[in-house]
Amino acid sequence: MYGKFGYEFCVEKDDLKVCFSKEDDFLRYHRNLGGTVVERIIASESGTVIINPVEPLNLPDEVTRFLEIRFEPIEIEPEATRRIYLTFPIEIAVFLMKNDAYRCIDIFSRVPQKYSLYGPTDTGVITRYHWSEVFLRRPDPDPSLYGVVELDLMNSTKNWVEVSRAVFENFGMKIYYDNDLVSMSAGMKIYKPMLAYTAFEDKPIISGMQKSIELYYSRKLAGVDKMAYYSMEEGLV
Amino acid sequence: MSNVSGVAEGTGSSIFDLLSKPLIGDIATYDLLYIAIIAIVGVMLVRIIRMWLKRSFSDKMPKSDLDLVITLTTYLIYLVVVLSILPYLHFDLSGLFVAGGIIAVAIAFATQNIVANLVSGIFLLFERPIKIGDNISIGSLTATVQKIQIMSTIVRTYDGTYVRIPNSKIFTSDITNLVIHPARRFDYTIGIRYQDDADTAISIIKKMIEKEPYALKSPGPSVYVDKLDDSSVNIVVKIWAPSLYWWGLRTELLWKIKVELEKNGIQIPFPQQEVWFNNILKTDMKAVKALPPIKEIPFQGDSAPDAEIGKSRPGDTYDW
Repeated sequence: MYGKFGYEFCVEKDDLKVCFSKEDDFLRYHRNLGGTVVERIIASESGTVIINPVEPLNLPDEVTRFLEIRFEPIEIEPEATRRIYLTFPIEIAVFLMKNDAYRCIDIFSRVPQKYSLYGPTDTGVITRYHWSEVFLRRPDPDPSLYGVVELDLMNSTKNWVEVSRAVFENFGMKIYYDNDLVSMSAGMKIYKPMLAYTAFEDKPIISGMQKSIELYYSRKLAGVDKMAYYSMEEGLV
Repeated sequence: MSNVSGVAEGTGSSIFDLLSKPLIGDIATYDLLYIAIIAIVGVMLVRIIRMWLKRSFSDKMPKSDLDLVITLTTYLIYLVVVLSILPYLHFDLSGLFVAGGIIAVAIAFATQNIVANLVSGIFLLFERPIKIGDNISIGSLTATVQKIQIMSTIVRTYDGTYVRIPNSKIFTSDITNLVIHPARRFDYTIGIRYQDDADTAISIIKKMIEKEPYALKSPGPSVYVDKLDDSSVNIVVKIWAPSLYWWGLRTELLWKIKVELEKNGIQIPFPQQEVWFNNILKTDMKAVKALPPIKEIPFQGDSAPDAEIGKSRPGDTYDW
């Protein structure tokens, strides 16, 4: 269901239907997800519609910049690096593109949202919460529901460390997609049992995947380039 | 040639003499000119720097921080301008030391409220217990901060009223900032009947909370039987939510819980009391006749034959 489309098309998947239809000089956008309908009127003669997964931090509102993935605890030996696969929730955005200008007209998700707090109630940060099973090989979830994070855990300490959560910042989330998979590639470097840095790598986990439009780049938020990593200072468990 | 230069010299010296001639005390015309130039340059500089700061940093730093920087920069430039102007006014600063004590006392008495507000404003700007956009409570006032100025703070109450609070009042009051922390907790007390199963009710309430995006996963909610009250078993529900979203969640969730509990046969009881009569008069209760049934009296207030009871008509008003 992801990709580039012209101005007249319909995409259907389970309880989701996305349609663009021409009405005189206008376009009508219609989206029905589980009975919830959103419509938009668009004044445009020609252009491209792009449907792709975006950073899962927009619904039901822009509450936070942080995505927290909790998983079964993993004990990592000193100075070891291991690769695991986790899932993350998908939010789908519909963009209109004309020349180099694009505009997001709708964001929706088939996964219910849940928020959490990382850190204490006075100095912590609100996070988008997601529980994931730990996969040792790449899973194949429904790409309209969940994506896959390829996460490299690097324990740079000289002690055993337990990890059961990864917190990522939205800036710099690089999402790639094709018809079967939505993916991100990330790393977590552990400096202390209570401190780690997380960052995304700008590469697909399978070659040939298409890069998603980054929603937070498109909004031109300040300091985007400087905030490519997040320091998890409130613990890894 | 010599005549021309002589005329020019004469004209130049006469203009210089004119400019040097004291107008007000020792202040000559050229002093006033310099003062005017410095003042105009100062005002222009303030405007240019304010505009530059706004353009350069409005998307790079929070509005409250930017306002603070702009305010401080403005006052700093004005201070430099005033200090630059003082020599042209032939203002003898040493004189201030002589008269300073008396003037300071007089000014202090005359402007103590203004100074108190000014100093409080400076401390508020540096200590920053509140910032623009925060929801705060000061005394009986609960409002959103709109602007923090050097002398006063402007807030907007939830019903949209503009309120100006002197900074000294804010500084000396207990300020409750409702949104300074990322999350806050709210509570419900839900009473169920004694015959209902509290475990089932707790399970239903937890499921309802789990469905809500803004009911935080961590710190998790607490749901427990808190009190065996006169008419009900009281279940306390404590939920953490993002500070900016807790009110919406609080107002929506309670009714959803009530509806869901009732769907599952768990009811919220009215206050009730069982009264036992000892019957010390040894009355034969079988002899007591039942009360006659209450007759329903038809509504007679509207003489119109086609009027429907309960249906409002244009112009009707009701005292709710």
